Amino acid sequence: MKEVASYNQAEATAEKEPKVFQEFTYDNDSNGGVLNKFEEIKGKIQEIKGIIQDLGGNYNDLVNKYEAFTNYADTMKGIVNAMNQNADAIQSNYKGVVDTAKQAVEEHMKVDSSLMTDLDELNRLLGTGTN
Amino acid sequence: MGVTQKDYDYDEVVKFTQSGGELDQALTSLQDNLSKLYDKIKECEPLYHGNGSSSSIYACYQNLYDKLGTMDKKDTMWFNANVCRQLIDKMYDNAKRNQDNDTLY
Repeated sequence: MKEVASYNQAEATAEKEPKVFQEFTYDNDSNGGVLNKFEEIKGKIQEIKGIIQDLGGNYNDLVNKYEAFTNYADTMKGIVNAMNQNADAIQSNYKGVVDTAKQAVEEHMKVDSSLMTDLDELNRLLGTGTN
Repeated sequence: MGVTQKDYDYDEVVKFTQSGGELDQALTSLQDNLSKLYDKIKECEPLYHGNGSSSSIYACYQNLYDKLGTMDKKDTMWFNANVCRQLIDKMYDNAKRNQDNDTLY
């Protein structure tokens, strides 16, 4: 029997939900603040999308090589497409979080113009910036 | 002694799909990175959040978590990664059986 690959089974099965906080917080500390974290999340999503592409490519190699795998081809293609859609949705939802930060920063800029650099960075993370 | 006609190179498929094989590694990497993504989102929450569970920020985080999902929830990343895992394991089992049967001759 195949050795079971290890992954975080508890996390794979656990319900996930945000924590409830009692006040608005926007921690833009230049060392480890939210903008750094947004960047890390963005990078991780890109990495996941790349892995899904590799999976699809690996599987196509098998299907193209051996007729015996054509039975699996449609199923596997469906799974890879579904994962691509999931990854796109995750990316879109991440941008939703960043967009709320952008709106908050735009609002606070009315009294604190030093947040301009944050706005530039948030626009860059959203792919709408010029830098 | 008869010659076995291979339908495909099951030795190669076993190698490809066994633990540590290329296909298996790619999927393990995916599952590992899904965990890391979840960790990063969790780390983000204390740095940036709204007031209460009715805030739009809370809803956005919930959307993220919903799409990451669980192995039991259809159309979520964890669910589909698990289906992919089951498929690769099936490919391995079939190839290994063919390999074992052939070595009997």
